[in-house]
Amino acid sequence: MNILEEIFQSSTRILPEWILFLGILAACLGLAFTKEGNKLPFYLFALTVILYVYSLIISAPQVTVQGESFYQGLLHLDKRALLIKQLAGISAIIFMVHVRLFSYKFPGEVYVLVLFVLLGISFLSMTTHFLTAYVSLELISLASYVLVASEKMKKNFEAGIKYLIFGATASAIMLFGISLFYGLTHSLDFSSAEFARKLALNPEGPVQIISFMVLGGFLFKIAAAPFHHWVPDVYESTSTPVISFLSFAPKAAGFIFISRIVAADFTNLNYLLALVIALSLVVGNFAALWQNDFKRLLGYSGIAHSGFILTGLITGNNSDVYGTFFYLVSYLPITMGSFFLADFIHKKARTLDIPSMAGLGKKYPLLAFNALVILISLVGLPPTIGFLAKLVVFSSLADAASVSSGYLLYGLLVFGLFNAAIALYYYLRPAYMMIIRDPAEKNSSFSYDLLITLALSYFSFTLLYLFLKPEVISEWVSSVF
Amino acid sequence: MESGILSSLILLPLLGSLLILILPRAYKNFYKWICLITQILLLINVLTVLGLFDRENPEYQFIEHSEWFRLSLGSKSILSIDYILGVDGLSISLVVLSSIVFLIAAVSSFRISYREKTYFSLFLLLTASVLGCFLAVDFFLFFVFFEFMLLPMYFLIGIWGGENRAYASLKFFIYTFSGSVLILVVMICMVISNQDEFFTSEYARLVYSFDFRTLKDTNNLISSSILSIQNPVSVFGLPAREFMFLLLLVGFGIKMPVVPFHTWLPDAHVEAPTPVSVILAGILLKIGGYGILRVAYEILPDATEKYAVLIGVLGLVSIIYGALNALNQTDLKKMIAYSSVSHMGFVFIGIAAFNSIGFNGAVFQMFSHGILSSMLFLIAGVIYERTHDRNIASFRGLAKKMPVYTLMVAVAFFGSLGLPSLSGFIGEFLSLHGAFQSDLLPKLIPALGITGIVLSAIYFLLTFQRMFFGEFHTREEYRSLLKDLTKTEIFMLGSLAVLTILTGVWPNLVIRYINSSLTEILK
Repeated sequence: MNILEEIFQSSTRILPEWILFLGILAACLGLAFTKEGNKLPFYLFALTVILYVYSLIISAPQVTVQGESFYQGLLHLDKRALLIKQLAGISAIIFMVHVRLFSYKFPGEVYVLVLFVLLGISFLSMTTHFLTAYVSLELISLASYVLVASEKMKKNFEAGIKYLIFGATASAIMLFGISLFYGLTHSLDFSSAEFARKLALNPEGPVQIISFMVLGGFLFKIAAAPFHHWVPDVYESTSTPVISFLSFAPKAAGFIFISRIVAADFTNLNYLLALVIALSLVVGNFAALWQNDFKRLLGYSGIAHSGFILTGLITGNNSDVYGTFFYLVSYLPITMGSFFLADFIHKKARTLDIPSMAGLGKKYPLLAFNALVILISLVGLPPTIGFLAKLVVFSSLADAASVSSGYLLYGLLVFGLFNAAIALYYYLRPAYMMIIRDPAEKNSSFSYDLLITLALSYFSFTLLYLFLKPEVISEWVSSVF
Repeated sequence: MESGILSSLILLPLLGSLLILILPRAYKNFYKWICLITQILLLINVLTVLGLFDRENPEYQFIEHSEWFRLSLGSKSILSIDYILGVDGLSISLVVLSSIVFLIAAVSSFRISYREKTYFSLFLLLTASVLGCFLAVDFFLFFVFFEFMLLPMYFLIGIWGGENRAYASLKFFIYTFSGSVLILVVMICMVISNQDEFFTSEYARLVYSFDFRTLKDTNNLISSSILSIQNPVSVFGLPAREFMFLLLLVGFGIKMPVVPFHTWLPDAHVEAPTPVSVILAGILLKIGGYGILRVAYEILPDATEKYAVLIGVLGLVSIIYGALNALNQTDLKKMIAYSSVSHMGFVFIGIAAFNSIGFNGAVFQMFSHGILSSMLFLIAGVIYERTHDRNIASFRGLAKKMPVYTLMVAVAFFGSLGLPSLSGFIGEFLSLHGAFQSDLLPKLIPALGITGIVLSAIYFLLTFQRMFFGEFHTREEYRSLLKDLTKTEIFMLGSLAVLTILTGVWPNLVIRYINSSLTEILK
């Protein structure tokens, strides 16, 4: 088969990406030929996302667990990639619903940029090749820089610049690491046998350092410490549906890539990961203790959750990276639900300042109940899926610890769970304010939004339902291994 | 035979809670009645179980077993989580106690007149999770109920508590949650060290079971796992089994509470409304002792026995420290809270004996303390609800003004200080007796434990003397408020007093239910 033929052959297999690409083109054209404020870009966006998810579902049976390579190994489509793409598609749909329900008036460019992020995620999730990984990571990053700054307020620019500078630095370091890998192995496909063989000729220490440099770019994307500095500002100032999407979908892509590096097993990354996890937990949880802005708090909680998700990547004899995927799937309703909640609170209280949520629960008991469910699933208390997710990742961590019997891993087990106890304090504060505290002033304005309340209740229902029937996630995730 | 009667104990309060939630606010006077009727139905169900319970059978009875879910940990192993309920002698005593105390607390809740809907639905949720905790035979299920009960408790203290309720409820939550995190660590490590052999061969994958019965069978231990007996693994310089036990000790010790993890208790008690204090002291503290017996001792007997002296010393310190603190309190409720710490210390001493007498004493002490501390907190509530003052020094000579009240206080105080023929004596006597007979404990520990009884006699008698004897004297504005007990209060205190006397005169009433299971656990 000559190369040209293979390219054509491969191109027929990436229909979902074609749909995204054509959708982006159509939306750009729509932008160019309509007045500002026209809803056409949004409808094109909605159509594209729905078709994308549809094509993912249609193509699902053809995808195998081992997967197959396209474009000479540049892309590798397997069930895990499909899972991540499906999750990203779902989160785009939730983004869409969020925008609609709260009647956001975004400029059309925002939708195009979200599609770009989705395209980047799509490619990043199905690659074991550093070249594709870099290009798609940059695609995600560049689109998200603009998304963050798109509201054109001072604080957005500040956040955008911070994000850009840290992101560019992380990319540069990653690129440097990749070039070193290339120098050592003359290969960019880290899943290939040749890559591992040539790498094995080198001493362990430098390989670990280079791995860390390469991972840095992705750790930045998933907001793990010590690459987390952009998080609070970006989370606080970006408009809620956008950050809701960004808090999940690009992270998912980052995690699958890291999990591929871990699964390629060219060096033992357990201790490195343990360090990143411990740092993320400390930074996320301790910094969140002093936050008064709910979205900023969610930003820090996102750092801590990245730590928990990474925990699933530390593997032993009887467990594999399954835990990470399980956590990721359950993290989707948790994080997007919490941003939905944030927007709802903002709508009712006109602020996201936690102390001024006082007494909100008395006026809106259903809101308070939903908030409580979402917050305790962020903590990881039963009876919510958050608890099971923690149970699964920490079970696999305990298994890993019993195999390599490292103190470090046992320490991480105890320490990680203790962080859940610290997290309890700051997650409970909004619930405390809403439910226990009396309102500061008698504010009699009362508005009732049936659709939003229903949507929020649907989130919390999902969180409770998945606790009782985790097979839904379990079977979905098991099928990719 | 699956009768579903144990599930009904959890479902009934849940349904009651749901009913209260969906009834519109116009019917808010019905909420307390729904709550009360649910508790009465519960008590009837519990008594039915008690009647059918086979006292000679040490195993779990009325087992209800259904598969809940299987959670794979990747391609090689599965977590198998089942819904298993059952009662044995240990749990049935606490189930009966909970049911009684909840009924009394429900009666006492009739005074609640603020956000009734939330209160009574949370109250019933708490009932469901406490009973679930005692009935669970699956570690996962136990843990879920154990952790879930914090949430209604947090709101019950936080919304209906006294002035400093925000601080107290948060402190309670964070303390006990930290404890439960330690238990979670142990749960994970225990589970991944034990395989369910039957299912492992059936699924051709390693199946980890959460069933208590599987976990306590050492044949199921995986030889390469951390809890393995043949190949001891050391964690931070300690054998892993002992390390796990220590984590459990702290985790359940916080709940119990044992000095030095007790500091949340006085705050929570002082701020909590009377019915919530009653539940907290009467039932929730017992879960600590129950957990030590059920989880720590049944699954890690070797490690637990090794630390007998530590358990004994912790118990002893609690007894003496709690008593000394109680001696020094001016607030009646705080005094009672510290006396709780002191009395729960006897449970630890009884457990540390590791013989049948000691265990029986520990469980009996839990039962008797459940009854007595409920009485004590109701007594504090009586004074507080009338005058909004709990200072011991504010009252003198109450005996003349409130004779029935004085009688009830006398029963509760003398019961607590260990007067023979009342239940407190039996629990303390058996615990100390067991400890004296034990080979694992130095005789000094029970010997010093006796001083705790003396100290408790001092503070109870002093308080009794100050508040009830002498000329009636109190602030002018209280005089008209201090009326004798109402009929409901007589019912609540009276029924508890009868139980105290009954179990004190005839301890076999409790012991014949618990003895065979505890003896079996010891084997």
